[in-house]
Amino acid sequence: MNLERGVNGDSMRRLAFALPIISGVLIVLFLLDLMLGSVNIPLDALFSIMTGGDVKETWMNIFWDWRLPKAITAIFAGGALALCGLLMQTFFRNPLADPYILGISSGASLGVALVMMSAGVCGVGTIFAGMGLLGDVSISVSAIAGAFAVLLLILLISSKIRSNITILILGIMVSYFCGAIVTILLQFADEASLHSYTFWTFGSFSGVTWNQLPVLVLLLTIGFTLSIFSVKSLNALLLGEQYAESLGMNYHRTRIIIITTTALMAGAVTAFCGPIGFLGIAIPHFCRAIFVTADHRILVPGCILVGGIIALCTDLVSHLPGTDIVLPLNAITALFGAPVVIWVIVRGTRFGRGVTT
Amino acid sequence: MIERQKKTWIIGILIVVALVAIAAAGIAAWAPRTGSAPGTGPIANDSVESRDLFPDKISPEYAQGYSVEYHGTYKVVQIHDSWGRAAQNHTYLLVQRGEAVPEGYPDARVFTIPVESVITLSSPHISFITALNETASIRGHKSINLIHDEEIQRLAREGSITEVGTGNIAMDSLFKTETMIEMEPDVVFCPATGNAEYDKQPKLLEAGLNPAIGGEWMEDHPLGKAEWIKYFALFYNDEKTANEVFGKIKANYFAIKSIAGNSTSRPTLLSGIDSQGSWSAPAGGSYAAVLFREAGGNYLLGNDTGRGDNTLDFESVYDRAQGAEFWINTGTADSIDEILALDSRFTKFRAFQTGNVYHFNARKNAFGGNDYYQSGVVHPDIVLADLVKILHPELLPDHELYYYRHLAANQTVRSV
Repeated sequence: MNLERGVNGDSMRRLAFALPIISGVLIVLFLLDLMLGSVNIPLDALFSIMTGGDVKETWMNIFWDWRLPKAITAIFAGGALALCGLLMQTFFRNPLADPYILGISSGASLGVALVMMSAGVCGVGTIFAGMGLLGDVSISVSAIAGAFAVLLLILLISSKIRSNITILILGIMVSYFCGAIVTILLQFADEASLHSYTFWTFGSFSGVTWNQLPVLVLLLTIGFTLSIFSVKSLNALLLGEQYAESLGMNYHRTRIIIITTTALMAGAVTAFCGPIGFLGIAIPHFCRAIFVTADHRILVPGCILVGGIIALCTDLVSHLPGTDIVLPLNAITALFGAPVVIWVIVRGTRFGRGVTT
Repeated sequence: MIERQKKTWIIGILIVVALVAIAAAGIAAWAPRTGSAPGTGPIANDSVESRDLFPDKISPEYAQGYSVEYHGTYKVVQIHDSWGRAAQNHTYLLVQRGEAVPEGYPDARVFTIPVESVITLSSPHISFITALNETASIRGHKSINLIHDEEIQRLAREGSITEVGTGNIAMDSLFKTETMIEMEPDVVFCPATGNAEYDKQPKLLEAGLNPAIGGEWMEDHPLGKAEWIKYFALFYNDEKTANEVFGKIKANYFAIKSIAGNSTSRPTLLSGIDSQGSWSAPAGGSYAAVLFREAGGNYLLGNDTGRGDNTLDFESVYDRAQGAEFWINTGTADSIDEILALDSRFTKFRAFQTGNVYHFNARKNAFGGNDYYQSGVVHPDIVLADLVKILHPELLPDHELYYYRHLAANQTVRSV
């Protein structure tokens, strides 16, 4: 691989060909996501909503307050999860790594479970109730607190420990630890809290309001920017740690940047949308397959765009336009994701180039 | 030499085993004869059908989950599974103490009545038993903290009621099965479940305990739920009390319903709450929806005939119920602040803007135990009165909200 000298010409041509198509698909799906939903809003009404015409107030609100933030969230969250997956797969040189491998989503789950179920019979609950924290803390704030607590822990550990595999194992241990506490809380939760916690774990792009959207978009944009600036280091990492250092890369700094970026994006998405699975693990493989490259100069923007596209698709499907039923987003993402992962495993690493272990 | 010694040993062991088996068989054959001797004698001479030990009888009118036949010295109770699974339709034989167990019911589970000690695994069961004045029979309950009655709390503190659960989820491993076995209850009332994984009955049967289903929570009609008091009465021979108590509840319920029927207005309302884009609302045929209708309300999300809860898309709920006058039952949110913490877009509903938000958490204790789910099951008349008071305050001027509460900002749940 002549990654240092420049992008493989074939891949570049492919990208030049694919980029306009992908962007076009993204825009079309974005508009579709705004147009289709449980409530049937005719096209002319949609047009007058967008141009500020005179339409039913409820339709105005549905469009501006529900569909628009939902569609924007889907694009950003899908892109971020795909990107996180790519970063983790490269960083750990493991094709099965996903955005949550560092234990970020488990931390977020713990935060949410603590707030949702602290009314339970256990002592923790009464402490929270006594502190006046009960109920008033929103789900997203508690999830962010949980995710960033884990992030700090992982950063602290990774500044002391050199081995990536150790960090991987530590992440998994943190997941188990948080999972154990959540299980105990679940056991003592009343049915209503159990119900809402279950819904949170289903994942959804619909929970983000206009107040929260700027925060999410800002955090994810920072993540995108940091990733785009790290493409060179990521390419170097594909060759292995020693090679990367011999190429003049500051390995320690790169590592901190990658971990922070991933945790920032995965934490933000989990906080606002719940633990959305599968997109993060499946889309990087999908991108490697369609762009036939392991070059991060192509894969980073590719994952952001394709992630957005797939997220919009899953959102459309989960809302089953025309009905008032909603399906759990995580079920839909797995329906998309599982076949891709199976395909990658069965086909070996032919399309998974660059992440061979 | 060694071989022969081994053979001798084996033959010796075999002889001992055979002797033990014969002795055990002898004891087994002899024991029940002495045990039942005083009872069986007179019965054999008497015609079983000619005697009626149960002069007061019940028959369910609204409840769909059980039926009963009386047979002089025993009652045959049929449990009809709420999920329509034939394998879960049980037959219970409730045999008067000292009377013979009738033949011809090979699959039936036998209970000796009247029961004197019971364990309850669901909080409404406590309220049914209390309404029958049989509180003293309760020896154990799943989670004492979630029980609203001061009386039960006191009995638990004094040690006459033992907590037999360690959590709130219905799973076998979370019961103190050993404690339950030691208590030797006459019956363990456990909630019906549609999920075989959470079904406690097989485990309880294995442990030698007598589980009996309490399926009141699957009834769709409010009076159908309350009518399970008659089922509990079967175990105590308290049919008379059950008929009286239920008769009063029913009369009161219909009186309130007819008062509500006098009103010309039918205020619109929505129900349930959204969690991440999925709105859980009572289905049109559910308990809550029936109560909304009987209280003279126009429930905008209940055009279907389904049971339980529907999961609806937020925008669809908003489109249908934005203009609703009342928002009744707010799910997990106990106050206006908690509603806002869930999603600030709830302010777009008219009922929220006009402050007409009500939830059934007036009697919720610090541990999350809600009396609406406990005594509210036995008293649909009071629940109905609450709803009429909310929707048509002028019709019941003297009624004060009992289970329901008007939600306003900065309120916290009253701890009891």
